[in-house]
Amino acid sequence: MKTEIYEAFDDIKENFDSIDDQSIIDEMDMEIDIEKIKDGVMAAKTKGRKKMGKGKKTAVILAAAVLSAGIIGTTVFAAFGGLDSAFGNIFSGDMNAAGLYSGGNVSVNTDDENLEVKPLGIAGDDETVYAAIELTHKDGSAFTHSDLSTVGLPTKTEFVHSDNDYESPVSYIECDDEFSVYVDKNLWQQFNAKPSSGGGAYSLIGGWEMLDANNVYEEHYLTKVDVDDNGKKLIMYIKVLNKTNTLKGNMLYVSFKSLSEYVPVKYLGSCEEITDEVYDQVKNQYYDNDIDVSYIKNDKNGYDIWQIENKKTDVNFSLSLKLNYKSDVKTASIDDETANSLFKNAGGNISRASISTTAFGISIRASKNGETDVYADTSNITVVTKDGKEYGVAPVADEISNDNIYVSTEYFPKDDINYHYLIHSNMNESDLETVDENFDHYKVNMIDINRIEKVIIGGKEIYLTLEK
Amino acid sequence: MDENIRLAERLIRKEEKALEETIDKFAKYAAAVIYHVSKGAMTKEDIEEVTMDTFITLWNNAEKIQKDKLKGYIACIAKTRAKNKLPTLKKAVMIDIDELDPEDSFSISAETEKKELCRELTKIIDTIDEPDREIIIRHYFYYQKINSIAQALGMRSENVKVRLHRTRNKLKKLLTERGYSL
Repeated sequence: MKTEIYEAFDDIKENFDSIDDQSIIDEMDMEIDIEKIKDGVMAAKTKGRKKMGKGKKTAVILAAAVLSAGIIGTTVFAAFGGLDSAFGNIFSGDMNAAGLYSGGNVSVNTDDENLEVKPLGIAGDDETVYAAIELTHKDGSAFTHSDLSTVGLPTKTEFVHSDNDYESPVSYIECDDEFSVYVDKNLWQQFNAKPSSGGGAYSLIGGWEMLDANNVYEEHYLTKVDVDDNGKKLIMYIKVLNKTNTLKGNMLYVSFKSLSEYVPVKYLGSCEEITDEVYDQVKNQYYDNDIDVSYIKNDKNGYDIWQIENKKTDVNFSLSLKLNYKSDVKTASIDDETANSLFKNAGGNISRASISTTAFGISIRASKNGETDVYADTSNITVVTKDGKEYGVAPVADEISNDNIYVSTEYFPKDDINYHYLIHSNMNESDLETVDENFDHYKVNMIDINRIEKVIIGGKEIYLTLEK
Repeated sequence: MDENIRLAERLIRKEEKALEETIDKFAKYAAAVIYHVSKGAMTKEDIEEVTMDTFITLWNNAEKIQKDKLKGYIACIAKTRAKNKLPTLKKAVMIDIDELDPEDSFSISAETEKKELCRELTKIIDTIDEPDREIIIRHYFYYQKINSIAQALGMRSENVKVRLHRTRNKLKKLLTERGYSL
C-alpha cells in the first residue's frame, strides 16, 4: 500500500512551534467569527453528550444491544426489526436468506489488496436504511484481539443474555473517529442541476437533501460492527439513509482507519444493580485509577464487573458503495383551476403546473406571473396508494423566481398520529423545525411510486403515469 | 508548566471551560489550516463550519491528546475535517499552474504502519537545516503556496522552489535509506 507524502504529513501531530504561524493565519483573507464557532461547538457538544449518555469512563453495559455477534440473520432482525417494510418496494432485488435485500442493491469495492469485501445487502425499518458489508482478510487473519479462553471469562452462554442465540462471544467493538462518508461528487453536481432551495447550500430531491457536509459525522455513520468466525469476519452496518440526514445520490464513499475493541481482562466482582452507590464505589476504586470497567449482565439478574482494556486494530481501507434504489418517476399535469386553488397569493396567474413523484415525496412546478409571495398550500394534497393508504405531504423546500415556482415535499402517513415531520417558514435549512421539539428523529416514508394511484388536490383527483 | 500543556490536561479532564479557552486560542489557527488545505474552495461559512467540527472532534477525543502536542493535534484534525469536506463542495479546488509540480505528491510504500512512517518523517524533518526545514513544513504540513512561503521568509519564489526541490529529493533519499520505497 502506498501513502502519499501529503497524507503522511497530515498524520504528523507535531506543534512545529519554531514556525511563525501568524503569517499562515494572516494569509487567510477573511475574518472568521470565533464566537459563532464557540457557540456552535458548545451547542453540538451538549447535544452530543445527551445522545451519547455517559462518557467514556462511565459504565459500558455489555448487554445484547452492544454485545452483538455472529449470525447475521438473527442480528439483523434483532437490530432492525421487520424487514418487510417500505424499503422492500424501494430497493431493487429480492430479500436473501439473511433477511437483507440482495447484494444487487449495493456494490462495494476496496483499494486495500489485503481485504475481501462483499456486500450483504440493505436492511431497514420504517426509519432507517443500513447497508451491510462483510470484510475478511485474504490471509485469514482475525481483526480482533478477543480470545476469551485466555482470560478465563465465563462461557459464552453465561456471558451474554439476550433474546437471540448469539454464538460468538465478542467484546464491545467500536469504530474510531476517522470514519467518514461522503457523496460522489458527480452525483452532487447532477442533482444540483435541479432547483435548489437557494444559496446552493443544499438541494432537495423529492424532499431529501443532498449530502451537506454539516451532517457527515452526525448522520452517516457506522452503527454496528459484528464479528464472526473468531474475529476473522467483520460485518459492518452503515447507516445510509434516514429522515434527518441527507441522501442523496446513490454513491457513498466510506473510509476507515481502525477499530477499538474493549476486551474484558479481569473479573472484579458483581452487583445486583448498578446503583449510584455501586457506581461511586467503582469510580473511586477503578476509574480514578485509570481502569476501565464494564458491567456485564450475569445469569443471576445482576451484573458482573470486569476490567476491560481498549485494544486498537488498524483497519485501513476505503469503500465505495453504490445504492441502486429505484428512481422511477410518475408525472401528471395539473389543470389551471386546480393549480390556482393550490397556490396562494398568485392572483389566478398560475399556469402549466405539473406534478412529479419520487420515492420520497412529490414535487410541483408551475409558471406564474411576477408575484413574489406565492406559496403552495400543501395541506390540501393527499397522495393515495393502490391499497387505499393515504399520505399527506409537507413542504420541505421551494424555489421561486419571477416566472416560476418549484415546491418539493415529503410524504407523511395521514393515519399515523405519532408521525412527526419537518415544518418550515422560509424554506431555509435554518428555519426547519419539528412539530414536537422533544422528538429527535423523523420517520422515513418512502413509497414505491408504482404503488401510487392518484394525487388529490382540493378534491380534484389527478392520476399519474410512469415516466419512461 | 507550558500554558498549552495545562490546557491539554484540562481538556483531557473534560473541563468545558478549557474547551472554550482552546477555541479562543486556536480557532484562527485551525481556520487558517483549513483555509490552506482548501486552496480557496471553501467560503468563510464552510471554514467556520469545519472549524467547529474540528473542535467538536477534539473534545470527543480529548483522551487521545498528547499533552505536549495540542496544537499539532488540532492541525491534524483540522486537515482531516477539511479534506472530508472538500469532496462535497461544488466549487473546485483551484490549483495555480505555477505551483503544479508532478513530483510534489510522491508516494511511499508503507510496509510498516503509517504511524511508524510519521515518526520517521518527523525525525527526518528535524535533521534538515533551516530554512529548508521551515519551507518543507510550510509546504507539506501547512499547504502554503510557494509565493506565500517566499513572502513569509523574505525570499524569492524561485529560490523557495529550488530549495523545495532539493529538500524533497533529500527527503526521498533519507526515506529510502530507512527502508521505504518510493
